[in-house]
Formats: sequence, structure tokens, C-alpha cells
Amino acid sequence: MTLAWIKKRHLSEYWSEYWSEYWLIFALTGLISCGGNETRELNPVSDDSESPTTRGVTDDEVVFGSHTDLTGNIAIWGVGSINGARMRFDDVNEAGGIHGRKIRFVVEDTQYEIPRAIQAANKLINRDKVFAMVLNLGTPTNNAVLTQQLRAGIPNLFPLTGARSMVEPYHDLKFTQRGIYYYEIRAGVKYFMERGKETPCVIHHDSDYGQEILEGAQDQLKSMGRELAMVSAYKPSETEFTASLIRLRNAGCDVVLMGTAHRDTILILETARKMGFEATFVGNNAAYGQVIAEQQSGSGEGYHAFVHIAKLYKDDTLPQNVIDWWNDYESRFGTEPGIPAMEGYRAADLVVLALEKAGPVLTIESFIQALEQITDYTDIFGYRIAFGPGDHKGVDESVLSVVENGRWKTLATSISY
Amino acid sequence: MRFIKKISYEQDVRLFQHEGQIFWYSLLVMSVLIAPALLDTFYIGELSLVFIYAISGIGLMILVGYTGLVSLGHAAFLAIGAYTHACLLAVGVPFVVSMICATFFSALIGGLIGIPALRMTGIYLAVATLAFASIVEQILTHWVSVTGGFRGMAVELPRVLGVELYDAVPFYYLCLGILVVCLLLALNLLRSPMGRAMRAIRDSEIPARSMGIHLAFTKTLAFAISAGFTGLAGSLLAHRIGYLAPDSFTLLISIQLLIMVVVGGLGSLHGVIYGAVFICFLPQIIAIMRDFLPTAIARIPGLEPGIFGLILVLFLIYEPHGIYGRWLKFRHYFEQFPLYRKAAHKRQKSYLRTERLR
Repeated sequence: MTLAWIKKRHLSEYWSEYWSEYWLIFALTGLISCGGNETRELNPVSDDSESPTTRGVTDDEVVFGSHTDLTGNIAIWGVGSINGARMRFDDVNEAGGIHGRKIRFVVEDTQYEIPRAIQAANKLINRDKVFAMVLNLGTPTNNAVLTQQLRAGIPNLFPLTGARSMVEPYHDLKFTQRGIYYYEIRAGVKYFMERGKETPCVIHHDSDYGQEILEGAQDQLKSMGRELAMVSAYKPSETEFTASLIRLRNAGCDVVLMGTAHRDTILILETARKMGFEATFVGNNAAYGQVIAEQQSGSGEGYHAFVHIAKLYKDDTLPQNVIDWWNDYESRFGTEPGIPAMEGYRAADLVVLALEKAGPVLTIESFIQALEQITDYTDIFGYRIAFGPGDHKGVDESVLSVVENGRWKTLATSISY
Repeated sequence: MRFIKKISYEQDVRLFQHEGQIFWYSLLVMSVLIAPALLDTFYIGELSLVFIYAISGIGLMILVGYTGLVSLGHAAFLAIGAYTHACLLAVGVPFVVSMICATFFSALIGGLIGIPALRMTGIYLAVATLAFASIVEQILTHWVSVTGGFRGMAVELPRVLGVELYDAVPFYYLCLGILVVCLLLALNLLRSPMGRAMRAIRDSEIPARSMGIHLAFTKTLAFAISAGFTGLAGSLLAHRIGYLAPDSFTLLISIQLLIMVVVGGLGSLHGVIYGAVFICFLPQIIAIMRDFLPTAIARIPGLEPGIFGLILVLFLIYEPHGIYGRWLKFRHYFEQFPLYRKAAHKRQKSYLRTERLR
């Protein structure tokens, strides 16, 4: 009844009597079409005026940007990597820049949230007009920004995520310098299967990251003519793993490949120790903290991880330049450098190297070419990175690390699948 | 001060009360229309996001501000709209049709969810909508054949009649056009008997029922309409993001939408716009100002969310009527200059009641 009343009053009476109120709608429709035409003519003009110079590059400055997480869930990666990169960039700027250009590094905090990442990207692309983005953090945030970023022709250098979408499908503007989870786990499966393991199993986060681990393990086993014995998925907030591990134990798993993060890794290892479940647990870079190694109960002992950079200990015998670097970092930021800082520093170092090689005339093309010429780079920590024309995946090998006496110990340094 | 001579009751339901309003709103329309010619692409991109948030805010405002029901699950409707739109586009449905389908599909789901959920009010309803949102999140992650699961799905570029609307300026006009249509729809709804019924329910349910308003029906409809607007916003957001993943529609987004309508000013469509500007522009303005600060301060992690949170908390403590409420007070002060009384804006009604219906 109510609805019928609205219709009658509104359409027959209000509309005819007060049509003048609706003039705005008509005016709008007209203006929108005018507005559209007007701007389409304006656009090419502004493009032309910008084209002679490369965006983000002036005679005395080149602008790099990064959207990262400084305050959210994975801020531990964001803060460390940005500090590492700033350290290298600040050194370059103090020494007078590269080919007369100083590096301006604009960092936006996304808090690991997609809408914030979109806003950060809008600022970096359209306001700061960055030349390239470095060390963008997080899989979903990278994926969300990548469409408009590549469309704007801005390189995505060394994102801090192991997702396959960072290298595949191949794009001229995508470069990585870290292991891709998918390939790391393939290498892990191959390594252990070749060393006599019989029944491989997977336990993983029910997330995009866990999914990649699962697929990597499945694909590698398929290529070896084998199959996974058991798969167990759990929600990232899960805290009770007894049931999952009993299933894995009953399936007779002797190597458990893990798509896990820190907290759940600790819980899984602890539960397995209590159950007396003795399989080889194999994780990766996402679960490679000192906290796992130094569990009081010793549950971390014998846990393996495939990583691209091994953890450093200051009381180990380190090369002098690494000790200097370590002290320098500590004096600047007041904390010990972790793997994020090493990765950030190396990313910045690669950028600096490419800027040097690209020469005084800096364009996206010359910069990409320069990066592709980096074919035998070794960072200060001793890891090799190699790019080439059409090969933008800087790392093909992983380091296998194992927990021994509460510390990470490197077993092998160049494992690939 | 302006005095309006009332000569008929229908004057009360006009869109514009007097010529002054027509003038100012026309000026506003003109300025947003010529904005792309004057402003940098950055601001145009941010404005389109403001418009998208405002559209979903209209939906939430109808629910929270006008019907007095609270929802912590509106990110789910945003997601339903976005995914429906993206899936339909992927199978070749034309843009406009797909957007309309996304809107109506969200509205349908909203209505269905409304039937059981709306027999509760207040905090119970908030929890029910929260549960609904987490169910939707699970569906998005596990219905891999449609949504692409965790890996997500790419959204096709927006094309209307063969014209690509992806670039900042055309997309800006698209969002602006849809926002204006939505605002007019909402204004019309709110001055119709249905809109009045919603407000009656908000102010007090028992008198509303004694006046013959069917509570469950009106609330379900309010929920459906609200979900429809939010779904429409979701379909635009899909294009703004370009790549859909379940992580885009978390609880945080629902909360952000709620903050938007509360900070803007509950119970006014102006508030929606102010709120959208607040949550989209403020973090960016803080980020831009940070670039001018001395290095030592600018590099402190967490500076932006910290300042944003502080402003938000101050606002909620000192101005519970929101930005629009503050503006009204400001205006009244000047209009009634020597005679302004503080008590004129004393809070008389509360919109969220934490008691159970029946």
C-alpha cells in the first residue's frame, strides 16, 4: 500500500508541479558530455609537454617510490627493508649523487591494506611522479597496484613478496631479487626426495601464500612421478594443531613441507615435539626467524628452511665489510639489521648500480637495459644476483638453512629445482 | 538570516528550500565538473575514490543514519558488488547492464540477509552483520572457479559503448555521474513515505508501530536499498583497484565505512560527503605534509596513522554530531549572531539502541 502511494503522489503530482527542481539533472547530463569532450582535447597537450623528459628525473634528482607496511601486520619487513634502502641511498646522496642526480626516496605506508595501497600508488604515480618503485611490500597490495603501475610505465623493482605474479607473466618492467615461494618449495621437494624421503606432506596457511606452496610441491612431485601423501590446510588464526598433525603422522609423512608464518611454525613444531612425531619439517623464507630457532623447549632443532639470504650472527666470523655494515646500521637505526634490512640494502645497491650503468641520459629504457646488464653481481653478504635480457628473476638458487643448537646454520648455498 | 514564507505543505518536500540553495549547489556542481581541467591527476584520482566511498556511504547512511540500524558487514556488500560486476564483465556482459545487475544482486542479498537479521537491533544486529561479512569472505576465498580464490581476479577495463573509461579523468566523470544519480535517488527516497517511515523507526520503534509501520518490512527494505548502493560502489571500486582479492574487503573496510558516516554526521547526506572526504583525503594530506617535514620527523614509522587516529578520536569526543553537525552549529552561530544559544544543538535522540526488539 505504501509503495503505491509513493508512486501516485510522486509521479503525477510532484513531478508535474515541481519539475523545476529537476533542472539540475538535465543540466548535469548536458555538462557531463561537454566536460568529457573538453578534457579529451586537453589530455594530449599535457602529455606532449611532459614527454621530452622522463618522469621523475631532473638534472639533479631522480625520484623512487615505495608502498610498504610501516605500521601494519608485516611492518617488521617494511621498516627493516626501508631502513636498509635508505642507508644506501643516503650514502649515495652524501657522496654527491649519481651522474649529478641525488636520489629522493618517497615511502608511503599502506598498513598492508589494499585501499591504502591504491591511495599510496595514486600519490606516488600521479603526484610524486616516481621514476620507479622499489621494495613494494605484500602480495595483495602489489597485485592491486601493479595494473595501474605497469600501465603508467613504472618499473616494479624487487618487491618484497615471493608471489609468482611478481615474475610471471614476464613483463619488461618487473624485476625480482628474492626467491619465489613456488620455486623455493620445488627446490625443497627435489632436495629431500633425492635424499631418500618417501612420503611428502604439506601443511599450509589457507591463504594465497599457502596455496602457492601447495602448488609448488604438487607440481614438483608430479614432474618426479610422485604424489603428495597428505595435505592439511588451516586458517591463519588457528592455534591448535594436534588434529592436523595426527592426520599427517597417520599418513606416515617423513617430510612435511610448510606454507606457514612464524607463530604457526612454532606451534606446529612444538606440537610435533610433544607428540613425538619425527619428520623433517621444511619451511621457507616466510618462517625464518631467530625466534623459531631459539625456542626454549628445543622444538626448533632440525627444522629446515629454504631462503634466499641466510641470517647473520654478529659473533660468527664475518667478513670485515659486513661487520662495518652491521655497525653502521646499528648506529643509524639503533637496532640490529635483520634479513629485511639486508634485502633492502641490496635492492638499493642494485638500483644504484643500474643508475651508474645507465649513464647521464636516464630513461626507463636505458635503466632497464642497465639492469639487464647486471649479470654477475655479488652483494656484500656474498650472494649472487644475475639478470639478463628477458630474465628478470635475479635469484635462481636458494640457501638451505637448518636449526642447530638454537641457531640457524647454513647447510648448502646453491640449491635449485 | 533567511526567513522562508511557507504557503503550502508541499514546500517541505521540495529538493531545494530556497533559491540560495539552488545557487550554491549549482556552484558546487560546476566546480566538480571543471575540476579535472584545473587539478592534478593525483587529486582527480583521489576525488574519484571519494565519490566511490560516498556512494557506499549513502547506502550505509540510509541504514545507520536514517533507519537506526548498525552494520559491521558492509564490506561484504562492497565485495558482492565488485565480484558480481567483475564476473559479469568477464563473461562479456555490457558494462552498464553488468553494473545494474551487480547493484540489484547486492540489494537482493541484502534483503535476504535482512529478513532474519533485522529481527534484532543494536549490538546483536552488529554482530549478525559481522558474521555475514566473514561468511562472504570465506565464500570469496573458497569458490575458486568464480572468484579466483586467494589469487584473485583481474577486472576488465570499464568500457561504455566502446569508449574506455579507465584513465583518471573519464573515470572521474563516471563516478561523479553515478554519485549524483545516487544522491538524487536517496533524496527522493528520504522524502517519500518510506523514508519517513525509516526515520520514524529510527527515532522510536513503538510509536512507529502504533502509526501502522510494518517494522520488519521497512527494515528489510532499508537493508536491501543500503546493500544496493554499497554494491554499486563496489562495482566502481573494482575498477579503481583493477584486481580483486578477498583481502580487499576485510572487517577494517566495514569499520572504515562506519567511521565515515559517524564522522561525517549521522542522519544527513551531507555528512556522507564530508565523511568520505575525511577518510580519503586526510591521510593523504598528512602524507603530503610529511614530505615537507624535516627528515628526522618525517621518517618516523606510523606518523600518518597516528595523526589520523588522533584527529579521529578528538572528533568523536568533541563533536559527536560529526562534521556536518559542526558546520550547522557554525552557520547558526553567524545567522543568529548575538542570540546564539548553545543548548539549541543539544542531543535529543540516539540512533543506535542496544536493546532487543520484542
